[in-house]
Amino acid sequence: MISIARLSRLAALALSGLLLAALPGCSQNWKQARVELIDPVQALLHKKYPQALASCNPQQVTMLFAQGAASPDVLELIDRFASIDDARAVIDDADMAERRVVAHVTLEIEGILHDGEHLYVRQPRKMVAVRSDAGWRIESDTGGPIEEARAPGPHFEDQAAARGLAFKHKTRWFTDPSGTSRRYVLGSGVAVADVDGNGWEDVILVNADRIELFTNSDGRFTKVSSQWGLGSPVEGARTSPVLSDFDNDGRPDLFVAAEFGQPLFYRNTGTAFELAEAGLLTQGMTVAACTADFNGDGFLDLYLGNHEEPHHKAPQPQGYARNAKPDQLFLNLGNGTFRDATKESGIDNPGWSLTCAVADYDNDGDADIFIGNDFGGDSMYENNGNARFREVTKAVGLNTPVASMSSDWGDFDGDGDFDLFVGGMSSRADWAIDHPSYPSPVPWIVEALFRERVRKQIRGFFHGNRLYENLGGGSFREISTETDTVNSGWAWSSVWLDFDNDGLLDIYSANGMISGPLKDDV
Amino acid sequence: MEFVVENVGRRDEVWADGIGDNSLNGYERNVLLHNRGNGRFVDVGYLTGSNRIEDGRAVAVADFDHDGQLDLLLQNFESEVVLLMGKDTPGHWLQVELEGVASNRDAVGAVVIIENEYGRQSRHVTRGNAFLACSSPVLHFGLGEATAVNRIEVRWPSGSVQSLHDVAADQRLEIREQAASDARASLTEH
Repeated sequence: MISIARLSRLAALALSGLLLAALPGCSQNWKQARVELIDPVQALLHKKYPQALASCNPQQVTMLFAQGAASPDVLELIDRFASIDDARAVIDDADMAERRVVAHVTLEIEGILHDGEHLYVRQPRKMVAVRSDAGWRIESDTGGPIEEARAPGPHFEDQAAARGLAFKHKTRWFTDPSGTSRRYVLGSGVAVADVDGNGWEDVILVNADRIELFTNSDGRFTKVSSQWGLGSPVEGARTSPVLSDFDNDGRPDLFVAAEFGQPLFYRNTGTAFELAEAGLLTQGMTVAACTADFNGDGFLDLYLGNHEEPHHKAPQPQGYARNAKPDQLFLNLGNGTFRDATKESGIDNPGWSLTCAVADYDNDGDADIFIGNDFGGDSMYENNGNARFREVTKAVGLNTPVASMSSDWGDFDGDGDFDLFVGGMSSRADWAIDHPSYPSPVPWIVEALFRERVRKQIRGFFHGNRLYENLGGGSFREISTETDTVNSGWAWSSVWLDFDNDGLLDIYSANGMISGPLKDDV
Repeated sequence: MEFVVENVGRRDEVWADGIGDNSLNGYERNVLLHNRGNGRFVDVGYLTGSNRIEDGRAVAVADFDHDGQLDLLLQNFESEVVLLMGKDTPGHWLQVELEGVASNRDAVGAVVIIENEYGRQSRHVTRGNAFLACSSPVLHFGLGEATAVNRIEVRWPSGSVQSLHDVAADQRLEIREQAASDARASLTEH
């Protein structure tokens, strides 16, 4: 009998199975299904259909229908708009036969109404696509309940240039073991605090090879990197900056982590950042960094989440990768230096960490740590108050088998404990694995006995974001589907904030991996 | 996350950062999930003008111009930084800036709870959550129609608890940690 753990690990292999075009050993059936059914249906429903709607032209919509008549309710819907800025349709699930696909689709339309108001509409639709001699067409298209939101005009405006914040991110290139030049794609970060003590929040902006400081006065920024001892080229590919007062002198000091290099630690003198030896020798490949006073001695410590370079090392095991550089915990000795206390802390996370987020999730007065790991499997550590930790991931219900990019704690339901939002990728193609010929990565006997479970597990990796409600008493419930927070795309940083001052925490999430000159994805 | 992806056009294996002229989940828009207060969220990225199309990475939150509206600083991949300045919300607000004494000076780990006739809200001071980002340490509360807060409770990392009563809205408060025995909080109004 195959254990569930083994089953899930095997199922995880399917992640690459779906994403590889021609996996060796793929059945001919699957290739044929891709070419004849999955790709054309995807093109019809995900692409041509929303494009036709966005044109606001009934003729173009009608052309996609087999019977020469578009659904009246969708024509009524687009008729409400004076112009449509964007329309999207995503297949959520589908019943597939050779010549007929019944799909549940989420349609989203954004545009300007005839009265000038901006409108966002979301509607589930049941769509039937059929294959004829002329190719795939829509046979029927039925709308479910419409949800909509309106606004008179935008609340936000980009004023970076107008306020003096001129900065362009540039990444670094490296050569992989095969000799190929590649871009370092994770990006570099930003930190905010009042560095010069004038009462206005200043900004550190990091480039792969440079650290810049912009000071703020009255909401206007001035670049002062060189005056403050920054702005010269630095080694490594710089990632997370943290501004925090590590020596309790009232001035935020600066820590900047790096992949392919050691972190930099700068002491804030009030007028400059002075590079200091602080004993922060890392494993390298650090992406995530957060501070808290983990041992309660009044000084801020540092937790570092380490990653790996996937071109040098493949994440293993697939779906629950644990072969990256282990994370590290540095305790602040209060004399300007830190000590690596990882071993005694009880933290053992060799996951591919991309994010860490600290909160006292169990309201016992100390700082606990959540770590979101790339390539699968998060980690949650409970602090006993003395920087000794115990892993509680499974015990508290945070052991969803997914890949995570970002995490933030916020009491969104106002019940006094901190809930957790974790950003992850959502796929627009995961419906395809429901096809009977999808090359399952598990042995045929497992596939035959546990098909539903295997498919569910594979789809879990593409689940997207997760919102975990803190139930108090040290457990969580995943509520992203019922709260409509699942899908945002290739999600990176996601944060809680009350942008509209209504007393409720909202979520902002930055999305998108790489945009090339060609708009179509690889 | 980066991994091997399929190339539908050329049908060969490529890596995320070796994609030539193609895109990989490119031209995706950022989302702003608005908490509707009924247990559901709705994406108002388009409606609020915050659905930026750059390849997003880090996001930091602060009220950079002290107008009581939160702003978003976006550090994108291989493109210009974006500073989304918020404006024109009708709701009242309160900002709280903490200074630890027995606790670490930044008061990281401190929890602030406010109460008024509309209910309770809590925030905590963190440094370095999310992804590649370290937002402002100043805590921001939206208050809706409320013009005052009945009670503010600060739970310091040192274990001491401080309370303030009947605080007016629309200001940035500085609260300094007092010894546990001292119930009165020092309070500076901006």
